[in-house]
Amino acid sequence: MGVPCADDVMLNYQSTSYHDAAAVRRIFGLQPAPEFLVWLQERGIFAEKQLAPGDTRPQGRLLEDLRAALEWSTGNRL
Amino acid sequence: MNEVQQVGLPELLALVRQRTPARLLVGRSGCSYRTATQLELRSDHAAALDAVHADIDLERDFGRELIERWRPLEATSCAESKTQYLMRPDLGRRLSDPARTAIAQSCPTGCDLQIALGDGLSAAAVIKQAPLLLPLLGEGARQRGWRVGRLIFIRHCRVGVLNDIGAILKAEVVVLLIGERPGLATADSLSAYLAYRPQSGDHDARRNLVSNIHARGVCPEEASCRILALAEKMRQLRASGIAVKEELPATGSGRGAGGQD
Repeated sequence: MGVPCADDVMLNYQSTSYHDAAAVRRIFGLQPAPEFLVWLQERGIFAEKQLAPGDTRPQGRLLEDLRAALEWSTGNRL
Repeated sequence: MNEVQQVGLPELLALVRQRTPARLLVGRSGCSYRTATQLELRSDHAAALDAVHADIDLERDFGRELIERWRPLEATSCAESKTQYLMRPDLGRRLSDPARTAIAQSCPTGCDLQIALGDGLSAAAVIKQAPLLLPLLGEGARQRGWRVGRLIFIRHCRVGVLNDIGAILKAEVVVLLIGERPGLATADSLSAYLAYRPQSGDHDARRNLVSNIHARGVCPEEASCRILALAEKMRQLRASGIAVKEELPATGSGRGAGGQD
């Protein structure tokens, strides 16, 4: 399960992180399920069947979504 | 474009961090945590362990004034040590024989409201929240004209201990304030479990809960209002648990979903 840094801050459980999933795939030479891999590549999170390096495209998109969400919730122009 | 005026990623991340304790967008080195992230996780995990293993000393942790006001009776569950408590949840749900005797001898029976404190999985939570919550509960009960029992503190306590307290004291509503399992970011979160005339064999479906009582969660003022309202409803319905639904005001952080402003 993907929980940021495995720290479930609502239920106070320690779970598994995005980093854990990526590390397990690397250690055991595993790939995401085919349809999930397609989705990951569409989003730019994966490239050439691996975690995308430097990831500028997802980060740029994230930045814009984040800005919009924060503008909405703070009521300030960012 | 107004690209130049817009704040960048570090500033946005700082804003995100202010709004949630979740460890969002920490970045990575290869596919692993960065060293700083890893060190922070180890340190916070150690703090959580400390909170579980810490012990409460009533006078030291609550101060003389609170002790004199509430005269808490100290009791223990059947778990004899913290280690045994952690390994044997069943023992934490029962009062020890000496505790039963002491409670029967020195606490009034048949009260409208009986309050108990339990260390649970976080002493830090009880130490932090109980002194804030108790005066509010005491005042709320006084305004309603309720007869309140003597405060009981239970060491090595789990929620099921409610049943033993109810069986001995025959109180109408029993509230147990107990330290929650600490997370990595919050070790000071308290829960209030409530039951109407709890007795042997009662389970969670007969209990109600206000959880996440701490500065970033449910604040003590809100928690005491909810606890008192629940107790009131239990007394009206002569029941607790699934029979009692808590009516919560609609939550919304500032701006409503309509967004008219």
